[in-house]
Amino acid sequence: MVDLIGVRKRYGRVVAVDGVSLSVREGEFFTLLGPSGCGKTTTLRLVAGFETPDQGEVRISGQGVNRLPPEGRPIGMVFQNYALFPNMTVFGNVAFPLRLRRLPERVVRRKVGELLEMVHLQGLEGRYPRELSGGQQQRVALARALAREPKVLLLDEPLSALDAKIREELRGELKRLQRETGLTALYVTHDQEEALALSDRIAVMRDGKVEQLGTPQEIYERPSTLFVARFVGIGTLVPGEAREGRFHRDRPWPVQVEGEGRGFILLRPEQLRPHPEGFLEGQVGLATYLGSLLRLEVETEGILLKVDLNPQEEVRAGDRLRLALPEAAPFIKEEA
Amino acid sequence: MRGLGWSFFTLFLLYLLLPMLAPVVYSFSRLWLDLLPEGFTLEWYARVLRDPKYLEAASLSLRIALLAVAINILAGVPTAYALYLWSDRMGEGLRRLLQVLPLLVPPLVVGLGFLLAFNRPPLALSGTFWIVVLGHAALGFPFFFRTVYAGLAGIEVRLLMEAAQASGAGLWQRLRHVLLPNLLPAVISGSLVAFAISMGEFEVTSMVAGFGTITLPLLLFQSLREDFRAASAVASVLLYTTLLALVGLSLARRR
Repeated sequence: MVDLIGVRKRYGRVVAVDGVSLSVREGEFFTLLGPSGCGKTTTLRLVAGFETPDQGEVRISGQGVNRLPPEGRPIGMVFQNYALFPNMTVFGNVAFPLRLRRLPERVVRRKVGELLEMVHLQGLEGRYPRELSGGQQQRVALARALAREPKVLLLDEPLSALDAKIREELRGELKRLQRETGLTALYVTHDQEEALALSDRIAVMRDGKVEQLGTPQEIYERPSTLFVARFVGIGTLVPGEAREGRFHRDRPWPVQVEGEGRGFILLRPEQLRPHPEGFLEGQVGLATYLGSLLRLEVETEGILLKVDLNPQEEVRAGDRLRLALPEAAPFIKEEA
Repeated sequence: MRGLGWSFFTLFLLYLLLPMLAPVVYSFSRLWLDLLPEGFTLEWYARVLRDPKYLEAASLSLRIALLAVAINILAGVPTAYALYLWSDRMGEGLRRLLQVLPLLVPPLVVGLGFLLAFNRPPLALSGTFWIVVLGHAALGFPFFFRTVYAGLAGIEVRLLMEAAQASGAGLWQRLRHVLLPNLLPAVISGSLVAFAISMGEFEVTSMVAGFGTITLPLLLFQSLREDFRAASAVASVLLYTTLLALVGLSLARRR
């Protein structure tokens, strides 16, 4: 549906997007994830048409759109700061793309009604944006983006400006809406949890390049680089060596790995379990109660392991603990 | 401490306001010999209104002011928009220069500059109606520009224009449906200020104007010697214009 082919974009000496190629499939929720300055927003803006690539091509449903301005592309867009027109009511904002298409007013009214119902804002037609909460404003913005009946919905950190509670609520609704409409969505965020929760596939970006592309499970369970391993989720990277399918530190560990040579295994906190005959013995340095879980930092053999336990467990800082390791773990080779 | 502050504030306010109010009080009074004036009258206003000399000057001032405002709108809105969009470091410097320079240069120098710049073909405008218009437009520009620029910054114009573009709006539709309606209050404010400046301008006008372009302030200065009563009425009228602009300004701000 959306294809980027070797797309490059530079501003002066800074290369913002450095040869990105990827394909978003029809009906897919695709997320560009990365820290600020990784080129994810520029990539989105290249698809929207606010930027033109220096090299490479952007295609939307097979058609090259490099020369088309945003108003000529089959897109709808939601911005981080809502970007509603302050001179128009909720109705006016949602009707704007429809009126631009010169639809009869009767049709405009019906469609705006449907869209507002979809985002649960019936009855607020006459309000101005300044009279709405952040969450409500973003729903209006979403309805406005959908009103254009786009082939691709572009979302630039749409939840970042909202409170945690509203953010989660709207996140669920966004997913539901995308599922129901079957719309292709290209989503930009720096929030890895959001990316994991929403996406069918994720492209993790770094320094203008795609570092890893895969499903949320692939990205979380099998990060291909140290950067992805550190950026997505919580865990501990343990340095060592892979030899004959097993991980070695000072001694061989009972952990299967794929690969050979020096590198790291990634241990997720939920994979480590206290066990009387566990392989590692360590001391709890910090125990943090997080409501749904108890997070420990266990010091063992010169490494600090993060371990998640059931919150009912009675473990305190200073306790000694034996830990069982997972049978296998992702191995990431040391970068040259 | 606080009482002292208030006393100083009140004194300062009186010091500022009394000289401005004096001509108004004078213009309504029959006689002012002692501390307080006597006898309310509209005679001086009637005299001004009956004299075609004043009416002509007033209509001239009005036309000049409206044209100066029009020039500011036509030149100032696009300039402010362009500078706002390209406000990198250079644009920022240029903006400061545009805002501050005309305020720092003494009006006499501006007047002389206009005389020198417009006294030979093809721009031989000295002494004409148009040089006064151009001069007033230039004097009002920094104030107009500043107001419109602040207006642009206040409405996050770049973001709104992008949102309109992503909604399918072409350039003309974006300007018409998004930029102009949201910028209108700022344009009105800036226009009122530029209008008030033009209506009351004396220094530059007195240098560049010819015999055919006697504006209301110039006529006021001339009649100070002949007819002090009528002059005070004219001065009051100028003051009312400014006050009216001020009221309009606060109305535009509130919207």
